[in-house]
Amino acid sequence: MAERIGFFVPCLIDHFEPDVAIHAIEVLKFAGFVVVVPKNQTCCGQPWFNVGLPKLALPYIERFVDRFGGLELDAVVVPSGSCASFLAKHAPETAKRKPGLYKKIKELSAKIREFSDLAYGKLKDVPLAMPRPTRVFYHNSCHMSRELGVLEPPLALIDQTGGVKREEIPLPLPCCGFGGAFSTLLPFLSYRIGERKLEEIAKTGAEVVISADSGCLMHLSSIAKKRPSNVRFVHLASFLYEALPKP
Amino acid sequence: MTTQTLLEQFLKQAERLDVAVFPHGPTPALKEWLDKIRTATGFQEAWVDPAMENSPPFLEEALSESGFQSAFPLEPREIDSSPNVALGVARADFGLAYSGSLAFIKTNPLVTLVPAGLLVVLDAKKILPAYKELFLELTSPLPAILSLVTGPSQTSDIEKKLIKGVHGPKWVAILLHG
Amino acid sequence: MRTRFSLLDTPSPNLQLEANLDNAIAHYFQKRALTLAEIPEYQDLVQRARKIRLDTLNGLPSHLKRFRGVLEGAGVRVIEAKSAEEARRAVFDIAKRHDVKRAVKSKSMLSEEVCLNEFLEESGIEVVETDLGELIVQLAKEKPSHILTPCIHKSQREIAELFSRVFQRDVPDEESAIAELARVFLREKFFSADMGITGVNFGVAETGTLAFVENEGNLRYCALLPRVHVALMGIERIAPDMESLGTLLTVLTLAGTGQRAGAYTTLLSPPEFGRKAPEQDRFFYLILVDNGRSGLLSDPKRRETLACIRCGACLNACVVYRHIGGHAYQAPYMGPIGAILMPGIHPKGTERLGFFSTLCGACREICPVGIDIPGQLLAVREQFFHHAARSPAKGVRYLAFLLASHIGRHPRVVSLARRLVRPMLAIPYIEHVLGWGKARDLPVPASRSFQERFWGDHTDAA
Ligand code: SF4
Repeated sequence: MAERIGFFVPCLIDHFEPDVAIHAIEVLKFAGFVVVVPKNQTCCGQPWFNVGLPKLALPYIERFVDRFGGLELDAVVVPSGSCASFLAKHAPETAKRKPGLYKKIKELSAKIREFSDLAYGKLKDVPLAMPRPTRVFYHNSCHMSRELGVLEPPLALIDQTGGVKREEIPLPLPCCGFGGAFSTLLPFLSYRIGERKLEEIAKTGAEVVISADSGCLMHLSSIAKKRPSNVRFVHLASFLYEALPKP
Repeated sequence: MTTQTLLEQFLKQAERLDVAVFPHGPTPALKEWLDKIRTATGFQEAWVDPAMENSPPFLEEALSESGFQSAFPLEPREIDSSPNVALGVARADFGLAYSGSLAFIKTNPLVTLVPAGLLVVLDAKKILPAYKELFLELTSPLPAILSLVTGPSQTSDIEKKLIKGVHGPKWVAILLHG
Repeated sequence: MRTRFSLLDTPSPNLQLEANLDNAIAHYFQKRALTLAEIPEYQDLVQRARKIRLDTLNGLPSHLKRFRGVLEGAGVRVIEAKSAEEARRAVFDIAKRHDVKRAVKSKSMLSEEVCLNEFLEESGIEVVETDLGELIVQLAKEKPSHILTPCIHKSQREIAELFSRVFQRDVPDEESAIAELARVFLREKFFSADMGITGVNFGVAETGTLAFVENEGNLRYCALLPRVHVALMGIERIAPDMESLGTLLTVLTLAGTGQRAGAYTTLLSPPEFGRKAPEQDRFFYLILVDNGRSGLLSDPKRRETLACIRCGACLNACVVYRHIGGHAYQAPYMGPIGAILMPGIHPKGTERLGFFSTLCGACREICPVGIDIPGQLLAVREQFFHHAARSPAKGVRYLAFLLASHIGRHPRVVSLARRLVRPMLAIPYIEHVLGWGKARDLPVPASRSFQERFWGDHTDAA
């Protein structure tokens, strides 16, 4: 029987890049999942957790539990590495501040899967191909790789795509400088780090920057728009959508 | 680990550290090394550690052949101005295979610190794997000073570039026997 | 210190500083990669070191008691300093007692923490820094900007110019010429100093042994040559026994410099500590400094910060540090460790340091004792908002986040907000929107959200 997965839409994707969610769902359906999208979702609450106000994240965790609980899902897929890492790694600890919440979120937390991680299991033997030869750079999201430990699946998916050459940076800056609240409290510093990241990427000659984290993508593209650059910023879900075998 | 593998590891680390290793005897390579220090520093004085029991006769000869004058280091408080010493000669109690370190227990630590060059006599059978085994060898009470020397004195403070011989010896060599 | 975020947040980055840091840190990572490539068991070592440190901290009072017992049993003078003030005083009193005119000092972050140099110099005692990097910042009348490489912010050319000015001669732009000049200058100081001041890397509870790690040899001079040796040690720097000392020494240098061992590792043990005291008029004192550490220790959520062995690796890994340098932190400890340690031992005005991080986790990844630095940063951020009502700067920020959280909770309110701000090209729930906007082309919110598209415009209950 096909696995039933719940689809969590990260707020940046919901309100800024809705196409990414549509693409992610299409890719997951192609991969054979039954995708359930609960109504009335909100942000996961990570911004308040990260800024040092975990209590303000509680209503968001509650809503998440309310929307996704009791749906008999095999997994909950999150197409953004850092939201996935919050829901999987930090939401339960945070929920301890509210009686009864911990138990509910704990169960759901264990089902959280980052998008590429989940998709890879089903897509690894699918002949993916880009219509045009493309040089790409994969930008690693810090939370996705260092907190969740999802490092290989997106790389493997990109590498198995025909027509794609993946470029790398020898000693990369460890972060693009977004950092959520960081970018609002120290906006110029955050900008500068992003700019340096873009300089690094430019050296590789890549035309497309792929990431599986909506925050990094929004940050980097908002900086790139201020500079003369032809680099495109693409969420991994959209990239895969484009590379799926056409019927 | 066998003595042989320990020795091999030790030699590999010594090489990485740019520490010359000579066989225990009069060789042209040793002479060349001694001459180099003699010329580079322009100093004559060589401090031979008083705790170095039966220093090999060939060494005395090699030192004087290269123009060194053996002296014994003074107690620190008797040294009132900075001495110009070309070479320190001492016997290491142990070597460490993991890091290429030389461990000194009885040696006056100034012998391995003040001179521009350091020549160390080491018994190949006295090479231990790492810190742990070294610390197990030390009986209580521990020596007042356990001094470990791992390659030349160095700093990376300027642009993280390696500079050798800041306050301690710039050149280190080992005379390996056994 | 004031709670200001805009301090380093200028539209014009310091390109020279960035270049200097980049250059130095690239060297560090190359060396480290070469060494670690041959040590496959490194991660196991880190786990062992982590366990040693955490276990030690959990039982610190008893380890300290044992440590002090061994030392005092051997007749060693141990002085406890509760505060920075007490620590400074203690060193000063010793200096007075032994009629000290000149002190040579090896690198000690703890001495920076307690502002020792300024205090001694005001009291007429000459203090000479002898670590090359420390000497450079001392001559430049600056503060260290890195806990391992104090002058990492300076290029070689800048250092050559500084030396030319200070020593009144033409110093070429060559690293060896600079080092040689420092060597000759310091040698004279070593042999004429009355007192040596050092830090301590670890104190071994079982044996009373003190371990010192260095690369230049200056620490050895400071500890062994002058009549008086004063060692300053933070109360948390205890290794329970010699075996754990071995593990800690191993990870310390691997992480800090990519070396299997420092060029000089010196272990001094009681009763003599390398000097035949007191019959030869040679004295040794150990000053155990608390200065706020007990507070961190007693907070189980924050205790982990004290596991730090001051290797400096997290600074090199930190993307924020690499752009602003150490001085921007305006604190004796900088980088990720500074951001979690300072608010713990000296909360006044340092809590804002908790926000000097993107929470990217590179620091945790590189830390040789696996400190969850991002987790500690979150705790510091919570601490920041704890007394938000008392400070306008904090209060304003708190209210902004509170308001945003109320908007974000309700899907329909978010959608409404999005439609309202769409013409203003702003993001609905983050403050400082203008700051973002000044530096970036603001992303334009979609006219219809994914959920609206997916479910039609009326997103009522599921
Ligand atoms: S926190 Fe960890 S990485 Fe940073 S200085 Fe301390 S021990 Fe080193």
